[in-house]
Amino acid sequence: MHYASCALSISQGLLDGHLPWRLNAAARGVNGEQHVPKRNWARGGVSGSMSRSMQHAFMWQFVDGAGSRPPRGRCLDWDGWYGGSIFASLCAEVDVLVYAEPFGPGPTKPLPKGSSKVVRWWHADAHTMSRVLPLAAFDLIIANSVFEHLEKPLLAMQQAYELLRPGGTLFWHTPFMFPEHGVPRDYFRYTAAGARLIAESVGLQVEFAHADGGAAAVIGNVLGLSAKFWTPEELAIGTRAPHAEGGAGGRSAEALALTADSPTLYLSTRMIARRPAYDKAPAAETPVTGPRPLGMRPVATARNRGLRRRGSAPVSSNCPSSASAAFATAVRQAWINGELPDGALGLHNGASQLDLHNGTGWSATNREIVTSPSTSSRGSSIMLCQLRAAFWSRIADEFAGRLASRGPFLARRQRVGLRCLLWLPSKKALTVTLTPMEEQALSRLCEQTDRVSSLALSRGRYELLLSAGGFARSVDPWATMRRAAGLLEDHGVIASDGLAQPLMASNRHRLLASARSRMMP
Amino acid sequence: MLAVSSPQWLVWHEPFSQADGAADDFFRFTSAAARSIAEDAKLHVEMAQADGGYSSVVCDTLGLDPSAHAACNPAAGEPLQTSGGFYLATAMLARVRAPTLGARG
Repeated sequence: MHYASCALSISQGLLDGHLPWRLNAAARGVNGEQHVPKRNWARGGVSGSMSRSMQHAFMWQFVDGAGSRPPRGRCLDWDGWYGGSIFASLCAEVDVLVYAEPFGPGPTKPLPKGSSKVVRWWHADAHTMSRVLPLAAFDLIIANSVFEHLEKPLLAMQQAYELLRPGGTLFWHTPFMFPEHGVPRDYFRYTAAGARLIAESVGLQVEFAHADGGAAAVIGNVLGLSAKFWTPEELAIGTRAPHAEGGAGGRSAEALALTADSPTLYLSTRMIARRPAYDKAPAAETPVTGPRPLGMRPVATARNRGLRRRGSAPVSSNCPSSASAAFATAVRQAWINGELPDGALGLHNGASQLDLHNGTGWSATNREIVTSPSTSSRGSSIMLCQLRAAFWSRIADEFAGRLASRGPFLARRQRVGLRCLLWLPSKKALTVTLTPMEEQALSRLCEQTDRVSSLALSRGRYELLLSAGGFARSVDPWATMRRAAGLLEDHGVIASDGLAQPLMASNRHRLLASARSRMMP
Repeated sequence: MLAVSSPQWLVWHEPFSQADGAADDFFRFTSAAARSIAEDAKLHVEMAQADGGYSSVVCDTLGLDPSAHAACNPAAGEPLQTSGGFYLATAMLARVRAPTLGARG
């Protein structure tokens, strides 16, 4: 079968070290492929970097859809790559923010890309930039691949709010299922809900926040198939491969790209938020489901025809070597044909074939990934469960080793024997049986284990708290960590002493209600 | 040392390169973020690291059967330098700091 041969090729490529996660470099010049620049600012241009292509496409969409808003205003741009280039028609003045000391106005120099009539350079820290830059002065803040690098994103978001003119716009784009990268530190990834959460926490009105770049973009990026191997429409399909939607013709590429329903694979998160204009009546409540088009021009109908329907092209029976450009073509074709699963947490329901307790979690007969309702409700794939169990085992080994070092009596203990609290990310997860590997690892660590879906419901004294996805779902991970520390210290929740935490706490009920309402069909 | 001063521990294991589509799914954390948040809560971080490297991400993303593909056995602790920055989860071990003399007095 085609998928099986591709899977074997990928697996063998991994073992041999031949699977290039930057195949674009290896593929240049192969099979007549043309060189693609890493960054391509041109409208409709394709960058070698998958992520760059998605970012630039979103920028052009924003510029095209913005019309007269903001009217040739003042823009704040990190590092200055875009204010004078893609956003040039919107930015009469460009202020460039660079992290450098001493903080204050920086030396005058031209923009690294494009031009602008007025350019100001600033040296500042995004967490404290309102001390350096003018308040309420900017019509547009361009935060492209910025917020993943900020240690205190809520603080930085509040700073952005202070700098925006009332009615000003925040353009946001961050990677999601994307490798860790330094510059100099990399801290966070944000789901669409997470992006909305931190923006609303500081009082910004979110026009929309959703996933950007779907299954094809993620698979392509992971395997190193650069953007040039895919059409823009294929990359933009937001949530699932065409086959999952009954064929690409079932819904338009734009509709798929803007779909906010349960994306399981997406490369980036994009958001447009605005500081409320106080001289106008308060805006209506932003719908919590579905996209807001932001006046974007619709994708041309003709372009949608670039999508192929399932089975529209012949498929080779063998997947080429993972080190060849033909491999990229084969993987893409397999994806178009619906032969690649859209992620370990995809919606294919084959639980009857799932042998969870053998620890495989995958069907041996079904070429498509199957997902147990139980694992999906836990929010963890089997691979993640395996990793977690292995980590718990390593911790058990470490603790046992420390006990052994303290004398023969303790060395005879087979179990560490702690009082444990296992924090699972949802109420549904509480009803789910752990995998045998997890149970085994847990039994080595814990004499007694209580399970909760919320730390707020926890009472009692524990020596070990195990988080298994709960922090990812916390509206305020900082406060949650304090609560965790408080539980462990057994003297209640430690009072928050940072600025971000009260901000989040004051909005928690509203944010939770908003999140819950989005869960409703 | 374990149990010498009855320390309490946090064993953190959170997804990184994975989404589950839940409406209340908000954040992913690198090891730097995990460490930062824990230290912000006055915990002492013994280790924080990426867990499950490039192979895990590829296999998880594509749904390759780990029982059928040896490459899919989770390679815990695969160095970032060899995983190209790809990893599936973030793991951390942190503990409550031992109270200093007079701290609660």
